[in-house]
Amino acid sequence: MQFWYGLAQLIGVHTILGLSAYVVLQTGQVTMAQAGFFAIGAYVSGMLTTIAGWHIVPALFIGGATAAAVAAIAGFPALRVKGLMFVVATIAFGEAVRLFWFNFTYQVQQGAVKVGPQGGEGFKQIRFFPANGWTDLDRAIFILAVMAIVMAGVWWLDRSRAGAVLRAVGEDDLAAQSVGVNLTAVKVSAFAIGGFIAGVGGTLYSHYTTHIEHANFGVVLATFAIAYPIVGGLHNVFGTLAAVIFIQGFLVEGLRFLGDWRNLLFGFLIVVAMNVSPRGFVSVYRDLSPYWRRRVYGGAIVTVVLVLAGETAANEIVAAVEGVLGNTGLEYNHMAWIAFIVVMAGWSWSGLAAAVRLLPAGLRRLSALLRDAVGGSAVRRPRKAA
Amino acid sequence: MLEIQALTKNFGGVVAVDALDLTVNEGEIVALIGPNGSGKSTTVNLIAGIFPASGGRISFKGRDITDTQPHRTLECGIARTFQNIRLFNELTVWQNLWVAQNAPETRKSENFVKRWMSGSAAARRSVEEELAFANLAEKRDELAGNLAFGEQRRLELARSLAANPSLLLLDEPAAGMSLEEVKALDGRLRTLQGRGITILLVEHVMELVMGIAGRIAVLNFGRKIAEGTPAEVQADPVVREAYLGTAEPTAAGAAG
Repeated sequence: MQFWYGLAQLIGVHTILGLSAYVVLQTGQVTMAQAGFFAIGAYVSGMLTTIAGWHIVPALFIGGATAAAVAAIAGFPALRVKGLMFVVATIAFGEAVRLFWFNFTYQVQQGAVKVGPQGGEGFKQIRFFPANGWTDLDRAIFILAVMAIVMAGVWWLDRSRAGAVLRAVGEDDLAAQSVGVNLTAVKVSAFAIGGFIAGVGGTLYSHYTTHIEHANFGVVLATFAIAYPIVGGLHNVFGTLAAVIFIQGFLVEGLRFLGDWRNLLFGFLIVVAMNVSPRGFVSVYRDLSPYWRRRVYGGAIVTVVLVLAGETAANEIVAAVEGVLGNTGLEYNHMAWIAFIVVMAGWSWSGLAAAVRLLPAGLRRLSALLRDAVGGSAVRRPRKAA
Repeated sequence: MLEIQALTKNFGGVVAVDALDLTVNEGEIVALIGPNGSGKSTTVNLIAGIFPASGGRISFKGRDITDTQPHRTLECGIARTFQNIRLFNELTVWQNLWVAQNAPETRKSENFVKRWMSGSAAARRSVEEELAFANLAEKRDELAGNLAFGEQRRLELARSLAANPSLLLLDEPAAGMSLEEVKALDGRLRTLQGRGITILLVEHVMELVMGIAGRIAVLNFGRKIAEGTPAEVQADPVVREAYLGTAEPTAAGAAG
């Protein structure tokens, strides 16, 4: 059970991070600064709870607000550049934030120990959860509740006129300007909202790991932040959640038993996922008929029930598999994930049939992709007459 | 209403618009014609504030609007359409108009939250009216990118009207249209004139221009070479030369 609670917390935190990038990506800006805002939230709130002794809820708001303020200030110069230059500028910003925390030391004596961020050594002892006796389940519920609130907020934003304006700016900023949209105001606002959400995510992250250091907030995390909404699809917030479950749950945790091969498969599977659903997971779901949608719903519900049924049930599956294959060396975690994938991919026989039916199309797509790669161009050229 | 004095725009060494003077009076439909590359679209872009002018002055309702940002010129009451259609393709037809609710008068009547969440009832009503006027009411929930070409043109016009402008800059609204569509556009523009909207029209389709424009200005190489009523312009030998060359006068008329 421990494993599932830990995973739920991880998914909650990363979904919030992904949603922070989701808001900025709506305006067509590929931001690599989200890890920086995440770090600001993590450190600031960590200091508030450990040094100042605050409760986590106000720390959540201050962590987010600090990140939002920094985002608004950084947004004005950064948003004057576009496209690739914006990516470079935001990477530089993220690294600057990381190196700030690398050099930042502020420690306070508390009883026998010193607490607070200590430069390259990191910030240890963010012990709000254990100190207040929160169990793993409490933390998981708290983090998922915050995630649900953030998600509902972004979902609402998406459906409001403000969301339509963000998308309009992302599609054609010149046309948006010509219908009266103040580009600077809209882009800086989106950046600040994204910063706030990332700061909230950072707060949860630092409190659930209890120990953070500058290296946690590098370019890799920034890449993950934009990968979630892009893989999941920029049309719906649930895509980001689905992508986090796919990437963190399945690719990172679920494939751990593959050892070093995991890293290879990880990249490969992301490429496959993007090619099977170029417009994100959500668009695949949207294209399903109601019949198949019910099956995806059913799969999700059954998975949750399986998870709640806990280790016992999963161990039964392990035992059943080992009964057939002999000792495979598989553990509960691995098996639970394989079960998860099987259930998600095709709950019931008809679900499996659908998976089989979709396979040729997927393979065709993949082979077309490989042909193009061999041809050296993504654009298919007409064959020359002999 | 709109006064342009000695407006000049250089792109590097190329003079796109050269000391252009033009006045548009309230309620008029003025057409700007000329061969390709004569600076018509550049003039529209300068008025709309897409890029800064190299020299000269543009004033609108007595206010200097030279080099103002596009969203500010819209707030002054100048809306525009683009030569190549620029819609928000991933938004629905209705959302395209919803985004464009930025007229100062709708702003005053609603609070900040309301404006960004849903728009006021009045604003939504005007969206519905523009949709009906553009004959797109049934397509309201379709993505703009999925519309047919003529529908996209109508939607772009409706989107610029959603801002409730007093001056409309139309950059080749009839390009690529069939004769029937041009006729429908003609009727629509006359209705707009009846609503009190002033129109500056850049157009190549002479069936439209000659029928609807009260006054025509002809540009060539960034300079204004003629101005007058459609009949005057058609008879002008300088205009014939610009369009048809000097070799031989033909029966094709100025329309070319």
